Amino acid sequence: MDEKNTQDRSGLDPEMADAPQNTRKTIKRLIALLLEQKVAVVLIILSTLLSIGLFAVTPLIMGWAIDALIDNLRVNGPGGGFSELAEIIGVPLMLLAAAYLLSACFSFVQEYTMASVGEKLVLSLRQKISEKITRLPLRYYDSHQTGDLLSRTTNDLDRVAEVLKTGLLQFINGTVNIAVSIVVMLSLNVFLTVLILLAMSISVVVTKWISAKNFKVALDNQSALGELNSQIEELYTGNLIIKTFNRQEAVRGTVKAISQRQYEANKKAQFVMFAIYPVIRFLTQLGFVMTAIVGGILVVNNTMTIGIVQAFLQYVNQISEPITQASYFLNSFQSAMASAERVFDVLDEEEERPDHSTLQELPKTRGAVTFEEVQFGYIPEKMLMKGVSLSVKPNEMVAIVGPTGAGKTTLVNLLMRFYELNGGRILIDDTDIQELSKSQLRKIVGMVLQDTWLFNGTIAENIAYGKMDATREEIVAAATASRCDHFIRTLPQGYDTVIAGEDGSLS
Amino acid sequence: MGLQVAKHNKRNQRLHQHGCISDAVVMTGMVSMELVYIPLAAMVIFMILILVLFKKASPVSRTIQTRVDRVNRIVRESVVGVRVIRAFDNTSYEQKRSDDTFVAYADNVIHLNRIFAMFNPMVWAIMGITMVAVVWFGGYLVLQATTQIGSIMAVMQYTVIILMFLMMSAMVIVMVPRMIACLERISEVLDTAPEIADDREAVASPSVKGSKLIVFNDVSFSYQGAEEPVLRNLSFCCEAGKTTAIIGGTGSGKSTIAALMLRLYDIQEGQILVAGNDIRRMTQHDLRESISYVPQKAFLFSGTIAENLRTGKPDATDADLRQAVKIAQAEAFITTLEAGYQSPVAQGGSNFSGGQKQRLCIARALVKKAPIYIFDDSFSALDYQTDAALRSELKLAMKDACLIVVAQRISSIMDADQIIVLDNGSIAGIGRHEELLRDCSLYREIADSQVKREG
Repeated sequence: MDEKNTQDRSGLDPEMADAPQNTRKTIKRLIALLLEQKVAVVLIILSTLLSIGLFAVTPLIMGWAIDALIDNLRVNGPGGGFSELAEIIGVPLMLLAAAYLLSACFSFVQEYTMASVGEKLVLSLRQKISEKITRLPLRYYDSHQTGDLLSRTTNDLDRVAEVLKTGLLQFINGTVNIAVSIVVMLSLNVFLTVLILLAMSISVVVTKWISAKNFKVALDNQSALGELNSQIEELYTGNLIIKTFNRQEAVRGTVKAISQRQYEANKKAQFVMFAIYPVIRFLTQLGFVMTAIVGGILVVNNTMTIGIVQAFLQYVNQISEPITQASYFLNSFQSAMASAERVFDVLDEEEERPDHSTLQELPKTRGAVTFEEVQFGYIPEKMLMKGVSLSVKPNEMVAIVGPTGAGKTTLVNLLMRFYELNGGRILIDDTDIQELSKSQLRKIVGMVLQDTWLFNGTIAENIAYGKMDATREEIVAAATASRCDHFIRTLPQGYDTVIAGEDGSLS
Repeated sequence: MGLQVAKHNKRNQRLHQHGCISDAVVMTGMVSMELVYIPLAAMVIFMILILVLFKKASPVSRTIQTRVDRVNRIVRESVVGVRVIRAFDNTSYEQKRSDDTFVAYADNVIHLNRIFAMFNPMVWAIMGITMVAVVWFGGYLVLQATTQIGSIMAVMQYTVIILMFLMMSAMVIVMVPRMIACLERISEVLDTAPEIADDREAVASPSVKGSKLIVFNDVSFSYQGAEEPVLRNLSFCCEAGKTTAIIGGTGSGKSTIAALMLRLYDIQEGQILVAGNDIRRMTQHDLRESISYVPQKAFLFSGTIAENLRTGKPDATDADLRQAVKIAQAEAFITTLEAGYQSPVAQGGSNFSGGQKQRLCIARALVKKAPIYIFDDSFSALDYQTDAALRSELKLAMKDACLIVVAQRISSIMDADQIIVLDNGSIAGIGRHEELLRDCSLYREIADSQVKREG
C-alpha cells in the first residue's frame, strides 16, 4: 500500500468510548440474540421466580414460628422439652427448612443454566465477528487500526459476557427480590413499609451520586491503562532501536511516569469504590434501625406481633443489598452496552461484494491478463487510475516499474480483487474476473506480498501455508528452491523454529 | 488488570471481614453461649464447601488465561494477515481455526461457571438450615427459660452477617488461582536474566586508535541450538572515511554481522574490535554511542517527526535535523506536510509509507552523528532515483565516517570502497566492484541476475 492517503484513520477516543449511542436499540438486539436460547431463558425466569418466591416467604414462616413460641410462653409460661417444642413450632420449622432447600434447588437450576447462556451468546457474536473479518473489504482495514478491531473482538465481548453472566443474574434476582419483598411487606403493614422505602430512597440517591462520580474516575483509570498498554507495545516492538540508540534510561522514565499516572488513577477509582461503600451500607442500615424502633413501638401498642417485626427486619436485609448494588450494576451495564454497540458496528459494516451467482467452470488457465480502461481510487474522490489498459500474454514476464506511490502494488491488488474497480474491467483469458468466485480467482493467481508477513507457528507450517498437507520433503524442497534451506538450518530449531506472528525475528 | 482487582478486593475485604466475622462470633457468644455453636458449625461446613469448590475450579481457572491468550492471538493474526489469507484463499481454514479456539475458550468458561453455579445455592441452603437450627435449639432454651426470644433474633442476624462476609471472602478466593497464574507469567519475565551483561572492568572511555574502526578477527557465530553456524571464520576490517558493503543471498548472514557489531549477541569464537577495543570489554552504552544504526525494518515511535529524529541526540538543533533530512531525501515530503517537522507520527509510523519511514529512519541515524554508521538493508523500499541521490549525498556528507552498508541490490553498493560477498555464512570474496566482477564467481552471478532482471 504505497503512499496513499491515510489521514482518515480514526482512532478510538477513550473519553467517548463508554457512553452507548443508542442503548435501546442495542438492548433490543441483545435480547433478540438471547431469545435464540429460548428454552434456557424460560427455564431461568421460571426458576428465578420460584427460588425468590420461596425465599421471600421464609421470613413470614419464621415470624409464624416465633409468634407461636411467644403465644405459648404467654399462655403456658416457661417449661417443657423438645417434644413440646415440636408441637409448638414443628410444622413451621419443617416448612421453613423445605422452603430454604427448595429455593436453593431452584437457584441452582437458574445459575447452572445461566452459566452457559451468556457465554454461548458471546461465542456466537465472536464467531460472527471472525466471519465478518473474512468478508470485510480491504478498504476497511486501510481505514481502521488493527488494535481497535482486536479490542472489539476480545475485550468488548468479554465485558458483554461478564455483565450477562453476573450482572444480569444479580439484576434479575435483585428486581424479583425487591418486588416480592415489597409486596409482602405492604400486605403486612403499609405504614412501616412506606417508612422503610423512604429511608432507603435516601441511600439510593446517595449511591447514584457516588456511582456517577465513580464512573468518571473509572473512565480516567481506563484511559490511563490504555495509554500504558499502547506505550508498552510500542517499546516492545521498538526494542532494537531503543537499545542501539541508548534510549533505555529515557524510556524507563517515560514508562515510570505513565505507570505512576495509572497507579494514581487506579487508586482513586479504588478509593471511591471501597471507602465510600461503607457509607452507603450505613445509610441502608438506617432502614434497619428505623424498622426496629417503629416496629418496637407498634408491638408495644399491640398493632404488630414480634414475629412480624422480625420478618420485616429480614426483608429490609434482603432488599438493601440489591438496592446498593443496583447503581453499580447500571454502570457496568452501561459500559457493556457501549461495548456491545461497538461489536454490532463491526457486524453492520458493508461487506466485500459477494460473488456472482453464475459461477462458470474455469477452463485450464493459459495466463493472459488484460486490463481494460480500469479506473480506481482508494478514496472515491481521489482517483489513482484513470483508464489504465494493458495486456499480458501467457508465458510473458512483465515487470511494473514506477516511483513510490505510482500504483504498482495497486495493479496487483486489483487483479486479486482485494479492491473493487470504479470502472473498466480486468480479464483473465477473456473471462472477466468479476465472473469468477474470489476463491477461484485466488487459486489461479499466485502472489508474493510486499509485507512478508508470516504466521505464528513453526517455519515448516508457514512454508506449507498454501498447501496444508505438504510433507516435510516437499517443504524442504520448497525452501531449497527459494534459497533458504541453509538459512533455516542456522536457526535455533531449524524448520521447527517458532516464528512470532508479524514481528521482526526474521528478516 | 485481573490481578490488580483481585489484589485490591482481597486486601480491602479481608481486613473488613476478619473484623466482622470475629465480632459477630463474639457477640453471639455474649448473647448465648449455647447457641454460638450453631453459627460456628455453619462456618466450618461453609469453609469445607469452599475448599472443595476451590480444588475443583482451580485447574479450570488456570487454563482460562492461556485460552484467552490464544483467542487474542488468533484474532490478531486473522486481522493482520488478512491479505495473505485472502491471497492464499485460506479463509475457510482460518475460519475453522478461529472457531475451534473460540469454542474451546467458551467451553472452559462455561465449565468454570457451572462449578460455581453450586456456590450460591449451597450457601443459601446452609444459611436456611442454620436458621432453622437456631430457632429450634433457641426455642428449647426459651422453653427452659434460660434465654429470651430477643436472643434468638439476635443470633439469627449474626448468623446472616457471618455467612454474608464468608461468602464475599469466598468470591475473592475464587480469583486466587487466576491471580497465581498471572503472577507466574510476570515472574517469568522478571526472572529472565539479560543474556549480555557489561564487563565489570569495562574500558572506561574508549579512545579511537588508528583508522581501523571495526575489526573482525576470525569470528564464528551460531544462534543458540542451531544446527549450523550462521557465520564462519569472518575476518575483515572497516576503516574511517571508507564505505564497506556486505552483499549475499537471503539468509547468508548479512544482518547478523550488523547485529554482532552492535553486540546484540555474543560471538562464540574470535574477536570483534570497535575503535581498537574488544566489544566485550566496552560497556554496551559506549559501544552503541559510537555506532549509528538504521534497521532493516523501519520503525518509528509515536510522537512527532522532530521527536523521532532526535531519538539519538535529544539536544540536536533544528539545523541538524534539516541537514540530516536533506541528505536522507526526506525534505520534500516533510515540507508538504502541513505541520512539517511537528507532524504527528502514529503508532508504528502507520501514517507514513514504507519508503517515507525508511528515509526518516536514515535521517534519525544521521542526526545521531557517530563515527560508525550501519545501514542494514535500509534502501530496499526506495526507488532507484531516490536511492542514488541519497547515496551520493551521503558520501559527500560523511567523508570521515565509517559506513557499513548491508544490501541486496548491486546498484546500491557498486561504488563502495570494499565489498564483502557472503555465501552461506562465510566470505566468498572481498574487494572493489571491478575486482570482484573479475575474481568472484558468486558476485558475478548476483550482478548478472540483477542486471538482467532490472534491464
